Amino acid sequence: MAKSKRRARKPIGRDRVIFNILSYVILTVLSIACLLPFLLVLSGSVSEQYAIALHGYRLIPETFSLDAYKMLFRIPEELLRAYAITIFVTVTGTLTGLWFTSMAAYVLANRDFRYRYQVSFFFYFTSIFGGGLVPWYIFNTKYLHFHNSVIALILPILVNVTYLLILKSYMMSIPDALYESAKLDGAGDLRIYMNIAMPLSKAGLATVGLFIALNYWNDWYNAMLFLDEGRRDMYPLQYFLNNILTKAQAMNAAAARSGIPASDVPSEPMKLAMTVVATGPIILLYPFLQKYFVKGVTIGAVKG
Amino acid sequence: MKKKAHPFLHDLKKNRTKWLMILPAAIVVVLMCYIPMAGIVLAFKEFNYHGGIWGSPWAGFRNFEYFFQSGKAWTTTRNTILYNIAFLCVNTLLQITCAILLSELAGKYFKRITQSVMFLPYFISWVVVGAFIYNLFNYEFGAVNSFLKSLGMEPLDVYSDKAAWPVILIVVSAFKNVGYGTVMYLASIVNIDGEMFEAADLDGATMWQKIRHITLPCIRPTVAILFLMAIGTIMKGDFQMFWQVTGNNPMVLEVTDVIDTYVTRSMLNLQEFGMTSAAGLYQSGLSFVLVLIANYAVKKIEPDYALF
Amino acid sequence: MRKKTRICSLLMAMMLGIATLGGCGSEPASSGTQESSDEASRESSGEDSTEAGESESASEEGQEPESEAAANQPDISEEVTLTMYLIGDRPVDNDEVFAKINEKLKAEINATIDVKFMSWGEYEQKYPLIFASGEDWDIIYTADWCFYNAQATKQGFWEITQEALDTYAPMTAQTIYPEAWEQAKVNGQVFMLPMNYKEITSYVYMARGDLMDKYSITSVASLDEAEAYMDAIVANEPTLIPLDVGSDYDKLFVFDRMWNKANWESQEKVGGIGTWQIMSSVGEGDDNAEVKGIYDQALFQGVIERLKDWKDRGFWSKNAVVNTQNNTESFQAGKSALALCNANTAKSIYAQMSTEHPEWDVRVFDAQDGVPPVLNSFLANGMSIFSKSKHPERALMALDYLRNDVEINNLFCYGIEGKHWEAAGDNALVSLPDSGNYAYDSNCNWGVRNDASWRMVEGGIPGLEEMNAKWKESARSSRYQTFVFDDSNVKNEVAAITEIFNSDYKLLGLGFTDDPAGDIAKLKEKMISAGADAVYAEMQKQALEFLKTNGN
Repeated sequence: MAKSKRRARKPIGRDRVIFNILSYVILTVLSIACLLPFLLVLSGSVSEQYAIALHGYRLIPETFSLDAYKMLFRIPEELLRAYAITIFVTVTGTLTGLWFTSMAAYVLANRDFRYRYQVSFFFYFTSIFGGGLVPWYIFNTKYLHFHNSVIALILPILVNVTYLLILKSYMMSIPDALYESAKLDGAGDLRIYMNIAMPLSKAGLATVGLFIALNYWNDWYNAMLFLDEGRRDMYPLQYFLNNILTKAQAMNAAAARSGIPASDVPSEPMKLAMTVVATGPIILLYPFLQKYFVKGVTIGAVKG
Repeated sequence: MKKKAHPFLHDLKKNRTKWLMILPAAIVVVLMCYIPMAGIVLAFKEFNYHGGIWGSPWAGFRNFEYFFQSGKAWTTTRNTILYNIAFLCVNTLLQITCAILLSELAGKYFKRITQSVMFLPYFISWVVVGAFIYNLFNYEFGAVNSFLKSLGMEPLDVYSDKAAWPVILIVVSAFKNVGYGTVMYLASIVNIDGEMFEAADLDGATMWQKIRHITLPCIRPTVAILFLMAIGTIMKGDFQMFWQVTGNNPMVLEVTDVIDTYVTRSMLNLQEFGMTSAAGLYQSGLSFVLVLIANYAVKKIEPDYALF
Repeated sequence: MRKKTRICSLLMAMMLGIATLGGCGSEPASSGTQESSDEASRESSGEDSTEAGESESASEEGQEPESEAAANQPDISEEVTLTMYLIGDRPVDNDEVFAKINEKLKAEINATIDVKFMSWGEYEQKYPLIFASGEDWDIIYTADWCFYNAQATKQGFWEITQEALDTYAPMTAQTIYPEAWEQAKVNGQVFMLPMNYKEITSYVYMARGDLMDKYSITSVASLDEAEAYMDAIVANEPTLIPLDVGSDYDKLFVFDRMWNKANWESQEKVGGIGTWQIMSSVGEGDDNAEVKGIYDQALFQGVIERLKDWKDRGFWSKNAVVNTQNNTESFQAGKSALALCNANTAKSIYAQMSTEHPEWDVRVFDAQDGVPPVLNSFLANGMSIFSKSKHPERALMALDYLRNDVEINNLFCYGIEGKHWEAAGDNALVSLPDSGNYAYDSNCNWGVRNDASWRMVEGGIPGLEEMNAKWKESARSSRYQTFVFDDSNVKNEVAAITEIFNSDYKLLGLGFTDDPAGDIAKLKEKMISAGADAVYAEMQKQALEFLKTNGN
């Protein structure tokens, strides 16, 4: 609304034209630079091993072969189950995480809250100091019983302090006057959080939600730590793939130092096919969020 | 007469809803961070499985010694800090530029496609990025050298060229994070009250003026917070990135070795938890001091932007 | 009100956490028996070597230990399930194989084994963690390259005393190689049953027959012949890298060939001692056991100069140090003209290459170049028991059967007879089509390899039999074969030295230097400031003690 009004009122100026040309050029160049490697990945994933070993990556595959994908989908149920686990963990974790984070961010963004600096510090401190892997692992396995539990895939990255503070900064840019008037209307904190803070920081929530989702999507480390090999049915996607990827290197290093046979290495195309398989669905999430990234309408909309 | 309650308890009562809203996140942080934090004590212990974390014998500062004894402490600390500063500057500039360009553009489909495409590098793992770099710069077969040779020029030996690696690492980092960071600034720009732009339009402001006087000042809080967060991790290097992109290349270690890669390399066979903890504590301690200074400075200038 | 209870629970959670964290320190103290037995054996560690000598003579007497064991027959009335950690991926037929193993184990010792796997991609991180986690498990694969020393010195393993061995593992007590038992000692205590398998590592070259014929090369069986072959490749085949070494697997392969040859032909016969990362070396005949950095040895510079020469001539890539592919992989892909690898690896790729690229006419040559192959350390593979295992004795009994019972050992190593493999004579086998689901010698069974029941895969490389015979005949163990360096007094120095090994030393080892003498001097300087002198002095001290107790 606001945008169309603006454009109708004012003819397109020279500065706008220059700006547009410039941004189209810059963004196009940048997009190509970002797209190129991914195209190489795609083309490499349908090439044959020897072609990559001999000639490196090519944009157009010399030979075409779906072997790498066939290998990955050798047991389709396993891969599909891994997808399902990842999607479940990502959805649950992102919703819960976003809920917890936004509540805390709302309070910390509130200039009425006397202890906001102290509490911010309480959170921030954890992003600098940590006890290290071993104590963390001991505590989680011995006392929180993370072993082979789905909680272990969710809880460790549920609340990210960086995102919490970023969300706080977004919320701080909501004009105080809005809060004040709501307060005068007798609204409590929960009400203001639900009816004002949340709708007004849609872009921030979309951003932080996206980041949390990406973290869950890409996480394999917690699965590695807490899942037994016997629980393959709980493997999330990235762990499933990562296992194949890192195997060869470690095995060869070991083979160099003992009489164990060196590995049959997952081929180069396979590594690339894994990238494609792992990226696929999550990249589709982004276009859905894009409607929240349109400038200059949000506040007007709520006020109107 | 009742004694006046402690101001904290008083606030706890008065703002109980607010405190309750913080609670879930706080519990997670306590469980995942604060309790295990007690393990910092490992840095001063000679760990064994029988004694566990508390029962193992004390080691004093011995766990810290190896780090300084190696003569690598200074180089790795310097590299870590310099790289992080470079990443911070380059990435922030690039991301803000992209965010502003995207926010001002009208073409709906172009915008959507560019944004999505810019996110693609984020999904390419460092292992694969490392393989790409190798295929680009390999002396005998690399794409760059094949190209140079076809022009009749001398091939480059990038892998033994110390000057090349900081540039490569900075470019690679910018490229991988551009989509991610842009979204963050874009969200911040989107939050700006549309009326401000409308008013500026009425006053006949040019694009540049609007960007300079409205957009940039309005995203300052986000920049400030990300700057402070970055200071907090200035002593930490992205291990995967340095390890995979450089291929753990010993020839250029002098300019690519960061604390995390150094610790991993020297601990690979030793498995000394105490020594690893000690290195971690050194990183945290130094970052903490820097953050306190930076936060103090920011608070002086604009209290709202401070972290705590 | 609600808030108050919430906060209370939060505080309680915190306190609980702190208390429990504290708990993990106090808990192990209750296992006092273990502690005291450790103590006792530590006191007696001085006499350990003589004890071992006695046991050797005892086992020669034959039946005696067994009857002794029968006298205090271990109590196996309680049925237990032992958890065993292996490294690798679960073979498809693993559970089927272990069902058979368990059937027999149940009958013999009233125990069954539940196998857990740690995949190759994660074992470096996960291995130490399962010791720390307090998880309930019993047996684990270990090796000198797989944290044996690190976990043993951190009290991660259950000590296997001579007495326990006699009581619970009588078959092992009889058959274990005394030098293997000696090697497994860390501060005088044994924490591992090393494989019962004398393994020699010998190297071979694999060359392309078509190229050899083209450039009239008749043989590639020595460094000089390899040099001539690679020269021909560099001159005529610009698209091929002669020998694509440089990955973590083969970074020092060429150095080793040259270094071993030079020293074998010298008077001093300098060889490595202790862990390879420390770069320590000592003259074989030097009774004073003067330990020096390998870079300080007279022949070092000559070897580096030759390596530099080879590198400069383009025998391997200018980017060799960042190679991620093995030289064998490059060779298989047709990217390089020569491969250097151990005989086992050659065997596993030869067949495949002959069928895929018969036109290459791959030929295999002895790369030992007159240097007798060295017997591998027995610690290259072994099995250990977790120090907090609830049934360490039963675990030891199970290991005894896994190692020595022919039927169980064969099952573990090769799978089910008639399904995965078929006997071919007494010490060879033929893999059957189903072996894809349980491949020969690849289920992390290496820790229980046993010469008594070992079978080779039938067939393979022409001429390998003769080479094997030659190697076996000449194989020897070095004087310090069983020496194990205890680095607990010089840990910081070792960490710093490891770092130098991984950077500067590996560069030299691939010939990456413009000025060998200058760079060796620089390496030496770095080593001194990292504390190498202290490490070598400590090692010399231990080496002298070792010579004294071993009486040679």
